[in-house]
Amino acid sequence: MLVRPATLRYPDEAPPEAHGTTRVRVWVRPDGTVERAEMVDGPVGFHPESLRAAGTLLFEPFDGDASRVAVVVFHFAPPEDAVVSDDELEEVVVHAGDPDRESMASQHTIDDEAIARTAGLDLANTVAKVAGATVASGSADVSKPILRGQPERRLLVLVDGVRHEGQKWGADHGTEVDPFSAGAITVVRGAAGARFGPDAIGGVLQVDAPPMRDTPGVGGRAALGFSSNGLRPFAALRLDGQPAKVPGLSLRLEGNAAVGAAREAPAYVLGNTASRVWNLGAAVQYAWRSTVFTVRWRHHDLVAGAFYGNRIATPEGLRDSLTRDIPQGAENWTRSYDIERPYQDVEHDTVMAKAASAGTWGAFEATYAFQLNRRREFDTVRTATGPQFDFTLRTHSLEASWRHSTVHRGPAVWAGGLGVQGQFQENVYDGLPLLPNHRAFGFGLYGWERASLGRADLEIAARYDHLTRTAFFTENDFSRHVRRGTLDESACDVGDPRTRCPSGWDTGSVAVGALVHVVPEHVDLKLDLSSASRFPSPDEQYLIGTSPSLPVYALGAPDLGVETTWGGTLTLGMQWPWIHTELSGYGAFIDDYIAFVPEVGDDGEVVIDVLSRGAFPRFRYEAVDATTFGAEATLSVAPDWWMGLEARGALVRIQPVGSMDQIVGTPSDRMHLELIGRPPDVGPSRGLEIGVSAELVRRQDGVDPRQDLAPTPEGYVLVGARADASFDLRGRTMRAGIEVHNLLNTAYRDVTSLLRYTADSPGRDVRLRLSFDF
Amino acid sequence: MHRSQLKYLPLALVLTACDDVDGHDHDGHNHNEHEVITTVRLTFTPDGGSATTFTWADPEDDGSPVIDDITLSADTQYTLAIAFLNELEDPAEDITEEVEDEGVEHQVFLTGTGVEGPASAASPALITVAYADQDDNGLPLGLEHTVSVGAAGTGDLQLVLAHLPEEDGAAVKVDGLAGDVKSDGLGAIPGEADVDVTLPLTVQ
Repeated sequence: MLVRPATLRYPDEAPPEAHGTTRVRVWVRPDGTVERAEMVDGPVGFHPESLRAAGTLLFEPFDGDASRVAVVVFHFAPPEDAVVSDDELEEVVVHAGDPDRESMASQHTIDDEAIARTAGLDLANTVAKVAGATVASGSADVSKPILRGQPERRLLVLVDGVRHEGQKWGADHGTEVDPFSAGAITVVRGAAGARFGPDAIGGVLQVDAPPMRDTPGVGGRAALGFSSNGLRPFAALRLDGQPAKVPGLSLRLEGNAAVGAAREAPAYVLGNTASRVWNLGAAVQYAWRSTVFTVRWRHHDLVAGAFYGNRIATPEGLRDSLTRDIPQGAENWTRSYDIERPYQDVEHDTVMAKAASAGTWGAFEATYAFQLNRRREFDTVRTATGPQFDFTLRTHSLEASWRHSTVHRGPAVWAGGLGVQGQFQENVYDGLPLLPNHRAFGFGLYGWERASLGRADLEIAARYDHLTRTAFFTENDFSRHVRRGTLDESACDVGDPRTRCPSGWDTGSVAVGALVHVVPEHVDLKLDLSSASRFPSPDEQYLIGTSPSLPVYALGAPDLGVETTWGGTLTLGMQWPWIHTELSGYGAFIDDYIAFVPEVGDDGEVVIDVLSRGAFPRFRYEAVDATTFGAEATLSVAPDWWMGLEARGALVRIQPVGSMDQIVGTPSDRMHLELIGRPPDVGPSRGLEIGVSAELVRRQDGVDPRQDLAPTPEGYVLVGARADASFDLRGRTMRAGIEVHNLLNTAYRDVTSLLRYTADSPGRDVRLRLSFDF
Repeated sequence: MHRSQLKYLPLALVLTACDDVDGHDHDGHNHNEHEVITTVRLTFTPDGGSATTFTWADPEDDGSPVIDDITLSADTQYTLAIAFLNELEDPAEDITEEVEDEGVEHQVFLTGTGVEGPASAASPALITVAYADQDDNGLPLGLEHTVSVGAAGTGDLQLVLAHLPEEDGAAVKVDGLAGDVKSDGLGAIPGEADVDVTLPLTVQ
């Protein structure tokens, strides 16, 4: 509850006659004062005054040590429209609340402080603390996010609003995004194609940079971390500056690095899982009148060994590995920092330029981005020095959007806008027969409108997308497809040196949402009816050969259509002093779900392909109709008391229509429980928390064993513990924490891990972290 | 951006296209070294006789192999020389010398329903094989074998070329691997199978 409102001054630099509404996210201390504020949206010309005014707000004090987050809304009008006086306006707080609660979708934002507590982890492990999110671990020290059971190829990752484009189809290809450079990561669960575009079948991960510094001086954050499993030190530094002599100019330089040795399962070292990762970034922002220009560059660099035990080249070797308690050769493996073949070397660069402007006509944003993704995989060889799989992916994208000014019409406040997005992409591949080169052009048109009616909000959004892709085959690769019957010569332009095979798709997405504040500030109910589509990826169309990750012979299907999901999510959120909870239930139909399934012959047996490296079961991509449903829940009991309980859990079912069997890769049901103690502050410490947790994972017993290469692993329980505290050092905040993952060193295997066929997951890990804001 | 300018967006983007996607790549082949083996040649030379070669070949490496029937004469002693080729290259690349040069990281295992030997315990066996060469460490390599042919019959011969590179500085190719295969099967040995082919075997 607001105790002291702010006084707004109409900014001199605002365009003449401009009206505007801004939203500011504020972190409120227990004493009711504002700890910090950052812009959510609104015309740029009103940002400085909004931030200043937000900092003067005073809220009703509350119990507890942790800050709370609220969103305040300011309306600006020219002085002649002023109610109070010619040059001063009293602000109006239309609604204060959590932005996640304001969204029509089921979503959770990991804030800056929570990101600092996970420093050193990759993106997938950072978001795994959100209900409904799980991790697909690779055979190297990389992982991929899963949302509502959908793997990364069915997720959209946006970094600073730009679609992240990498080789995300590979099971062992981690997401090339540095979570430490983010100021907030928003996890949108469920289909969101109309709001965000293609691929958002399972949801969206929005990774946004922290706000640039807006006051003269230099500041930033330094962080150190260490993980015992893998003996992995981590260091990071972010420097923000704003020169006093150049108002409006902000600068940022940031970087981090980690070096890890081979990790350990409880009973043995996971040979060759060492890794080296570093990130570097820079940004320049200049605000001129009501326009802000931003140029940003990010570089991600990873070298990671692939687990020796996963070098299973034949089904016979896989069968043997399943009978072993300890992988073949494990006695030789050491906790070495050396990275041997097989390994991957990945670089990802993003350069983006953005202009945002606002006026009486609304707000306009335009963003151009270029991404260069280079992935090289070095297999075990005799004499070769180069990579055996070499991918270069270049992506240009351009997006422009216009948001109309917030208007009052009838009983509602209306907000909305229109946008257009274009993308051009080229992929160059060199190496073992696997994929053709390809070139693609896509574009999308979208619009949305939201009406706020007192206790209820309604939103509608629609989007149209088109993609044209041309694959370019070498003579050998094209002949191989023709012999297999996967490509029709008449559908391609046979040429020298490469044969062109075109394909194209169109799709539309819609979303309708409703949000009702059943008991304002306490109980919200929202319904999100959304669709989303995904164009077939190049590997689903054209893969041919033995998979680098699994001992199968894989075949693509060039004539695949668009995969589309239609579904809804009902979310109930409750916020009372002693209990915070959110419960979501969802269901969706997925039209032409692209599944990777074994090909069964007329005799009922899986077809076997005989190659020079052995006999391999044939797997093929094919479209099947599927359904998915499930639920997620989060619960926080006594969040401000000296002892509390936090829980989150999720279950998901993904099954072909007409079958009760789960599709291979569907995550297990899981629940996380944590008992938290909050002792009183001692000395300079603030917000000390001590937690003991249990992760309960049920066996995924819904998968037909004939569809997988091995039986699903048993369920498990992992015990964990942590302690976190902040220290006030002359007005600066230092955070320290220790976390023990898998405290009892339990041996377990995850159904979504690439290690599961050959080895246990990593065992006990003691993580230390220290960060300092200056 | 003005609406009339939007129509030029695709054109502007296409102008940035690079010819490494669809253009000439010199010979129409991929260039990274991937050391594929498409073809295995087994040359049997009887004592005092002329050599006969049998081939397992999948020159396009697409799972459509042409497999010869190995036909040997009963009660005859042979020497067996094994060669590995990559026929995706033109001319075909002989990989055998590479394997020999890196013999301390390779070993050929002969098994199958018709084979008795260091790595196989078929009984009754059509042929009995023994290693006839060694790597630099004095361990069996298997590019050459001696073959003693018994009575007439049919079976098969499975040939596996195992690649056994060091792991964390420790040798993976050690003494006794053939015995491990004999007792526990091919899954019992570490490393990767660069080649794993099976040919019909007839003794007449």
